[in-house]
Amino acid sequence: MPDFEPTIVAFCCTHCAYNAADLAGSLRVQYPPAVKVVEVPCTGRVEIHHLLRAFEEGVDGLLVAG
Amino acid sequence: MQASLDLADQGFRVHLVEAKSAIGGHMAQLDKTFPTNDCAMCTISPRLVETGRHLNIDLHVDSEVVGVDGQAGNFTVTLRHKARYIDPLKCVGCGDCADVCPVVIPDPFNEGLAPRRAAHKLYPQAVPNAYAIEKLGISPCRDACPAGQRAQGYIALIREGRYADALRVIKEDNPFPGICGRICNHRCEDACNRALIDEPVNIRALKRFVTDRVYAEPRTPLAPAEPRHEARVAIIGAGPCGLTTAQDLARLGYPVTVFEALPVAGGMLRVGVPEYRLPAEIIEREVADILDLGIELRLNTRVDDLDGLFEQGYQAVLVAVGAHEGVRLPLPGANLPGVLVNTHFLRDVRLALYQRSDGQVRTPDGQPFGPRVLVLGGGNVAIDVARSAVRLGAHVELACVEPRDRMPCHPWEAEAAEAEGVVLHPGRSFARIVEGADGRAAGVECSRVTEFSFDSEGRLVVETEPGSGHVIEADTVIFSVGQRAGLAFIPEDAGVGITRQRTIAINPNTMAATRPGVFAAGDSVSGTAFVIEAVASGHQAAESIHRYLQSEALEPPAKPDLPVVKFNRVQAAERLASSKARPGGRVAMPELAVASRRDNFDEVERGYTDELAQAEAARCLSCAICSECLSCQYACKADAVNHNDVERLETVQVGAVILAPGYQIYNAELSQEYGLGRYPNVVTSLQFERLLSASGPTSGKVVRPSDGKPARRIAFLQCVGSRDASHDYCSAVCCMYATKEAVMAREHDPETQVQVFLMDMRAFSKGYQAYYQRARKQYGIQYTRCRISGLHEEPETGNLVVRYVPEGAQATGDWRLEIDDRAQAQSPISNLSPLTSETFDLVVLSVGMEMSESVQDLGRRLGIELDEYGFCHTSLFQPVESSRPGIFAAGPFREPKDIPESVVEASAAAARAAGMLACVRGSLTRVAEYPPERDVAGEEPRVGVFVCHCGSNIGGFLDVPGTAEYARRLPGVVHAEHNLYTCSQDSISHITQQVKDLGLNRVVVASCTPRTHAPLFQDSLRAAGLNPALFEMANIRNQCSWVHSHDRAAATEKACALVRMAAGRARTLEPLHATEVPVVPAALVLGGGPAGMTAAVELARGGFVVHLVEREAELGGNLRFLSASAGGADPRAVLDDLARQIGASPRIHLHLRHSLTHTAGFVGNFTSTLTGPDGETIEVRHGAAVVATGAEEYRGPEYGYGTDPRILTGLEMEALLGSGQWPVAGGQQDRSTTGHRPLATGNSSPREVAFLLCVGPAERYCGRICCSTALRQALALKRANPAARITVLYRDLRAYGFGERLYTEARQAGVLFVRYEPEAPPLVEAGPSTSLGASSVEGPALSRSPERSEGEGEGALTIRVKEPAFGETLTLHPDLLVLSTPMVPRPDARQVASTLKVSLDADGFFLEAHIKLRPVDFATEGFFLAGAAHYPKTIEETIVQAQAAAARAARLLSRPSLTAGGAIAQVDAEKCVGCLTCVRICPFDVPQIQPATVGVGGVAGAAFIEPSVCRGCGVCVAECPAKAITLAHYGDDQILVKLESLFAVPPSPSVAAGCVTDAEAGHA
Repeated sequence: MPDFEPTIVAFCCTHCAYNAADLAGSLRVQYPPAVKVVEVPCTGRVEIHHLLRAFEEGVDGLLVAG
Repeated sequence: MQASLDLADQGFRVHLVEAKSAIGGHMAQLDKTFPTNDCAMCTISPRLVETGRHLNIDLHVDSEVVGVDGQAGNFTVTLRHKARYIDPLKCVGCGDCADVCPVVIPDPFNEGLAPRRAAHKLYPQAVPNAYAIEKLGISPCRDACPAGQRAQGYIALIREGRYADALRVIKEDNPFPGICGRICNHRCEDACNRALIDEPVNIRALKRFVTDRVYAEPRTPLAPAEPRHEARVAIIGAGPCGLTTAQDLARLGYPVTVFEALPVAGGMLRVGVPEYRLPAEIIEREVADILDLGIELRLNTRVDDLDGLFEQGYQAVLVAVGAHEGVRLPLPGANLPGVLVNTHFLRDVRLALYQRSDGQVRTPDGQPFGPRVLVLGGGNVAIDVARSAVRLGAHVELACVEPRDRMPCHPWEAEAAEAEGVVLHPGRSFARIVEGADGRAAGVECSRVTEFSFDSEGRLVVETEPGSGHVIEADTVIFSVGQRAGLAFIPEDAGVGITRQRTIAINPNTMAATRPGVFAAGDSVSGTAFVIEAVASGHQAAESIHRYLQSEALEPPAKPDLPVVKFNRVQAAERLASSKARPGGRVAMPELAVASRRDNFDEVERGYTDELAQAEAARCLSCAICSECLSCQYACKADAVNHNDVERLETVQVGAVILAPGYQIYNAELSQEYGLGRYPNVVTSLQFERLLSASGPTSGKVVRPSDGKPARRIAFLQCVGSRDASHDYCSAVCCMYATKEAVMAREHDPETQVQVFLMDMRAFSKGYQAYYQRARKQYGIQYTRCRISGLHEEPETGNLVVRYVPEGAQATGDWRLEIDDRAQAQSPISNLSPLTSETFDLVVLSVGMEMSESVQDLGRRLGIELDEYGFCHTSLFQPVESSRPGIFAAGPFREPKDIPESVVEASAAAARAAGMLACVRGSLTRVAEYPPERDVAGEEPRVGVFVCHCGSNIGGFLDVPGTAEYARRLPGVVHAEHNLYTCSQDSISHITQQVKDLGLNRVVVASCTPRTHAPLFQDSLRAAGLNPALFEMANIRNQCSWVHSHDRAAATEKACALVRMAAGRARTLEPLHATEVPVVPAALVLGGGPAGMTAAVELARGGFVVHLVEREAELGGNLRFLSASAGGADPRAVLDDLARQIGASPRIHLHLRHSLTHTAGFVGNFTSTLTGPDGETIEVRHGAAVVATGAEEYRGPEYGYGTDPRILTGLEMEALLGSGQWPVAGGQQDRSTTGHRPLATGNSSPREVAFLLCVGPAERYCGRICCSTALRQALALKRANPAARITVLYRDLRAYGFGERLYTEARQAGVLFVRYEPEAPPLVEAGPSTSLGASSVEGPALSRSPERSEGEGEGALTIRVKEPAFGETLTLHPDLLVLSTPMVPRPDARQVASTLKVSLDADGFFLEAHIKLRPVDFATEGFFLAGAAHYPKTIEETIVQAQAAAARAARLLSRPSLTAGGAIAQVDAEKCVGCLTCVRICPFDVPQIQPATVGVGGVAGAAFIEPSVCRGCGVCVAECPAKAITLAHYGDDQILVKLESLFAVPPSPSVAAGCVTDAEAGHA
């Protein structure tokens, strides 16, 4: 699938992983635009049904980072 | 920061003064922190933001304290604010300035391992989030230039290949760059610092190069200046001066007319300087650039009526007529035909009026010219005349009165003339012009000059050689002996004064002539000068005329005295070494060959090529760092750059001063033996931190600076700049940070091998010993005990060879180890040479802490006592008080220390300051005021979207207008716009206005990160009466433009998606409301030891009620057992004083013989039950609690303790030292009381005492104070009996900080130190048959010591210890053995912990909330801890922590109420089954089952979450099986809507496509 453009959602803890994404920006680290960050108050807030819903909606990959 | 926050939160106004351009200190530079390996930046960053945004903290960055006057309670502090050159209030942190800054310097934040620009932000997360410019002052080149040309600036831009920008900066100060690039006398070069190394930079040639490059392109006419003023200005003379003034005034918006008598503009440039030096096209181009501004130029218009100009309506006149009147000497024959003057000759040649026909050159009036020409004069103009005549085909000679070496022309001018065939006759005086037969001049009669000098009044004295008269024959004679202004048009009665030298009299400061409205400048006032002076004078005249026309005072305001960056030879060489400048002389200017010059006026100097210019520009030393190229000023769209910023002084009134200036690392380049600075692969530990850091120069790859290869073999050298001849203290942190860095290096690359060379491992604090053990065992870090003998580099590989003596093979002993004669005799090893070498890729120097010169200066200025190293010494029982009342000290400034202790001290200092100022708390605080909130319930979402360009940070990489246009079509969005900087002050107010005007009820800002900016935008919502929760951000900078900067279309598409997601979520947001819960202003303090007593006294001083609870009948805790040997004040007296204060304070309620049995409630509102000795109970209400329950000394069976009265603990020894009674063999001990007095005693002081360190639990965690206690007691014994043999048996001597001095003193006093390996602990025997070794006795079986029989009585103590340096076993027979047992938690600690629901650590001590930044807080809000209950600590550390706990509690108690609510979890009791899932899962122990609440099915007992303590993490929400808990602001729908929006079909496909198409169009 050479032309396949996956959509990836990253659930990021507001206290750490979200900051890491910010720092990646400050340092101009380049990554594929397919990744979209969704901020959560803590990765502990993320529920399995959130993940399943994400796949239902059409997400191809998920990252829960915190 | 900690002290500021603690005070500001308590209701005090705080001025936080920081010398750097941002707060954060060294911690911001660190990668990870020990012992938890947390990211340092993640830990500190929230504090930075909190400090930066605090309403009651006035942040003064780039500032320092000049002086403190007055006294405690009423100080006047003078602050010096250094020039930052970027206004932090205007700067939005976009970084456009740094992108265009051409000056590259080593980045100090990255410890020189990465480059940085002069315009910079200290580090990405810096607070304030603003840039600064590093500028040392004025470059000497700029200083020397009359017009202030920013030479360093355009040279920097040439280096970057930005020639148009270079021209722009030249033109800032000089409208004639092409001209000055050719004929300037370049004083800049005379001042150039580079001359100290080889030759000055060829600045003039570089300037010309810029014009060559830019002028090669066709000229684009400039836009006319915008008219702003009515008053018209007349300028007489279109020379460099007049045109400069015209340009400046036109730029200011005045209508300007320039009158010029000649048919061409340019003045002397055009008609005085020969074409071969200055082509006419250059002048024409530069004049045209000026005239483009809208200046009227009237050529061929001689002004002869000054009054007439005023009558025509000109309100100001500038006379800038130059000096065009050549001077004829009054010699006989001076007016003969064939005698010319310089100015007319040059003018006519330049205007091509000389004709050549039939081989004869004729003057404009048809007279023959030459062929023999004699020029009279020796100045630069004379040379111009001579060389011009050569080009007309004449044979030219030149005669002047001055000797050759004193000719006024530039030497290179004379040389060039000679090269072209001009014959020079220096040293001639002229008698007359000889008249020829045809009545024309035929030559000049001259005499030879023998004496040429000036007398005392400056008059020329010339003597000639008698009889030396001779004639130099010539057909044409040209006078070139000076020129003056032609001022005939100024009538006597015009009111304009003329000087005796025929120049216009002016005020040199204002250029104003004696008649109002008339100004004069240039050669017409100064006499002949250089073009750059005319330019400078023109600028000055323009300024004056502007002031005159604005009716301002004519005298210019005094300019600040900026330092000129003048190097000495050493500084210049250092700069050369540290910059990219290469050594070598200047690059030669290509010239036209002499043979090709003589028959034409072609330009002689040909100009640099790109390569030559780059090479020459690279020679610039960037003296002032910032080059003032003004690129940043042009780039900054927020108008925040101000290169004229100057430092200023400010005074502030304060009640107390806290000094926390931090430390600097030791400059290890001073220790040449380590090779720092010489060997690239030797780095400091701070540099290594940057190598480890993901945000560092190598993105976290540990590579060698020399070649970028991975560093796989790394050595750490400890104690560089600590514990040496020049530092008598231990820096206390190096052992641990080296261990952490070693662990991190292994984590980055498991193949890395690390060896640490050290003396003692000082892992003395909580969790450190376990960390150290993990480093050794789990990570395989190798620790080698020695000081290295040498270090050198293998030049071909860059590898480093470390030579050292390994342990067990030492011939003469570790330099630290002092062995008595007997021990020496036991050693069979002697005179071996066991030097070992190891090769490493990288060597890290663990550099120690020092007080910088500036900190020491500060201390001296403030009049506080410092020690010889600049540390601020304080007393044992007043640890944070400096010698000056009202000035407190905290952090490494008092003693080297790590982050937690610095934070504790900061809080302690805050407590002391707050206690002093308690009566004025709240008097200067500020509160934000907002209009009442608008109720948006039931309203349809009306979303406003604000998309930010962030200068070019977003707008440069994606289509911002397109994204805004796209947003407008999204559901619920009623408004979308884009702003240059959405966070600028005007945009913030604009959002408020838009919310009001458009009736918005949700706001989305698409810009940067909510971490820093959400509060700012939420403020604008609140100002519009909207709940701040109705706000959402799309992070299209950090998550889009910056990370997809190479794909504009994709970045635009993602920005649209992020805005779509944010707008979608915004529609679902609901207001969040907080409630205020009142705070009970009382504290419960558990423990009546020094910690509890201190905390109680501090809190009472702060005005709070205190319940002090002590389980025993007496206050004092362990302090009661300390004797005066603790040093400093008498502990007993201090204890009594504290007890007296407690007794005297009406606010302190003392509950002796009580203990805590129950606590309920939450932060601000606790109710506790205290139970007395007879079971009676008291209930107290309090808002906070301090746990200071202390610890007790361990008394276990190790090493025979309890079996022999001569085996003591440290505290028992302390009691003996106090009593002077000593135990004897066979006696018994009374252990029933805490006094521990031996029953059988003798009076004779012991002859031999052994101290054994690290006993019992101290094998597991460091007892921290045992080493220094042992050292102190050993010294006391030595003082009592200097002949006593005292031996200290240790594993690591952890005399951290100034404890090192105690260690040194003990060694000097003759105390013996013998190290043992933990694996081979000493064996202790009392009596012949009892072996009392530690439970872990291992190692070789010991043979009976031969000395046993040598006079030691039966039953003597025997200690055998294997000494690792020699590998031999030593035997000791002490009279007393002191076991340094550590403090252990009290038995009731667990019960207290469970009552308060706080945690204990693995060793049973109370666990703080965060080991680094919250060391006195419990994780449970409202509880604080202090003293040995936290960890063993010295009395001084205990007092500091108790004061800190008081500050932390006071911060809470001083608030009338706490805010509860917001984004927190809430239980719907009707769904709750009471399953306890939430109770168990909550990391903060918040949910509780309330029996009174009825849950699902009417069953009693449902969960309750106290709003004021819920942290809003939502873990319980996710886990609740009944879905009974919801989290406000992060409900399922509010999270999932983002996913839905991400995939929602865009409202109009064509718009989405248009969005991308726009982007592409924008890109093209």
